[in-house]
Amino acid sequence: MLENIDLKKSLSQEDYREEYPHLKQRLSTLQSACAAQGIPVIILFEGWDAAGTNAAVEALSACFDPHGFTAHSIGEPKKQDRRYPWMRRFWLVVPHRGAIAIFDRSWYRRVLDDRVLKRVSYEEWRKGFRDIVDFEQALAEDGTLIIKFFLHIGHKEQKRRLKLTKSKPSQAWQDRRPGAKKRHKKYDQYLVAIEEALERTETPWAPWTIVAATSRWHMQKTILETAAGRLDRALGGTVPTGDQFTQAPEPESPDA
Amino acid sequence: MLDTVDLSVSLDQETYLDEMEHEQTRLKRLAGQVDKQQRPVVAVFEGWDDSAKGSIIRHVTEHLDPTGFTVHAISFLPPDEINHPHLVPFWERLPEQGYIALFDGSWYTHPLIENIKGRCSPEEQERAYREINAFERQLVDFGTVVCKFWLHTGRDVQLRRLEDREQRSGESRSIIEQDWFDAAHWDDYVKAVDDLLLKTSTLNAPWVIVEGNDEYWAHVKTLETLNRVLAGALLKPSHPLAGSKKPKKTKNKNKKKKQ
Repeated sequence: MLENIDLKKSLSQEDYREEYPHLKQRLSTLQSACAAQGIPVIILFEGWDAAGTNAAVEALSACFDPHGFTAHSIGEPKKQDRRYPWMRRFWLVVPHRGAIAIFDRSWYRRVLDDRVLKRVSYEEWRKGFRDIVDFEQALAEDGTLIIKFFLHIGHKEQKRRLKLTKSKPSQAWQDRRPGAKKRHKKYDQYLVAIEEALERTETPWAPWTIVAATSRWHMQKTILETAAGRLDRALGGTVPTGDQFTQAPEPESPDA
Repeated sequence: MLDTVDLSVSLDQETYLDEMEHEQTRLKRLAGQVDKQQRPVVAVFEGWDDSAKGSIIRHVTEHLDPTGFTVHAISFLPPDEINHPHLVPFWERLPEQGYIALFDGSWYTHPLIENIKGRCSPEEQERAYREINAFERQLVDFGTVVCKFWLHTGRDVQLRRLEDREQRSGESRSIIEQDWFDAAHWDDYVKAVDDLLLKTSTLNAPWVIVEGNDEYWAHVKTLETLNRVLAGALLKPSHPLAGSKKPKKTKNKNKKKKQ
């Protein structure tokens, strides 16, 4: 599945800058429409280490009113979390009606990191697929809009980026997750796990969008566009487009 | 399903006191094992109005260590929680490993009422039960001991108790009136409950129907069943793993990570 993704797609920063204001305006409009209609939204990012999930979250959150969304960075479960069924910590942060929850990594850890690094047993991550599908189905049927992104980069690109972080301290944010280099060595095992996860959790109510993330600007544009498109469809296409929305109504001339 | 329940069973006081002493002591010992073996326990009590759920829970917890259990009374969903999918409040109230949670009313209460009042379509009904089954499956997968009791009383007993309550208790008028209204719709209730029991009695988490006309019988049967389920799920105290306070699942994992 992943080998069919064209990783060479790119976009210059200038082009992105040109489109960005429109997308930003649009997303902001859509957010208030979602809040008004009480639609809960989940936007989640999964991806390789250094694929830029962080940048994606930042780009997206810059478009939204901070009152209306919460961003969750999902790390390893804390000790307290392990004392409950594993899905519980995600159930506790599902967005309420009209709110947006952005997840940087998510419940897919269970079938990706935990599986590859052998943190859970075979049975546990196997059952994880069903738990995930049930979870997303329950939310979707309750009215939640689920938008899932997978940020894909190639093996070489990942290597390059991980090296970059050494020579350029300013890029160190890309290596914020400890152990990225160790995981880089398991690229092939991750590939198997990722492909299986994408395949088994692809559902009509929660489809994946695989984004070629070699070019940051292309990645960000795709994400903003996809998010806007999905939100628009969930709202039934009733929201006026950004340009119309911002245009001030023509003042009526007293003669007419 | 409910019409095949034999409601005439009863116990005399002497046997009752004997049995209760025996079962309550046994439960106390098992609760100690729950803590030692770090297993979460969920017990759900559902039943008709006036089926004396509260009194049963009181008898279950009478001799238990109060730091080891919590009773959650769920009669309606608090308004802020309607903002969420209906299982969210229950995910929140799940017991930690080594603790017992008793639910007086539960995740079944809301779907059942919605069904009886005809406020949801058959599809929504199916969905609620499917979600509940998935929820309980995850609990059991995690190692939770799940025990569900349906307290069944006959219509005559229900009406008698309601009349009693109307005359003696100082309960507010509106509650009593609501209960009379519910009692008048007995047939709807029976149909909905039959459906519920049938669709949510799974291998993982079966329902136990407790004959509640005789309170003595109901108390003993509940305690006995709870003890049997716990004894079946927990390791014997003589088992080598039973004494360790750490959950055996995470024990090795934590070690590995530190290395």
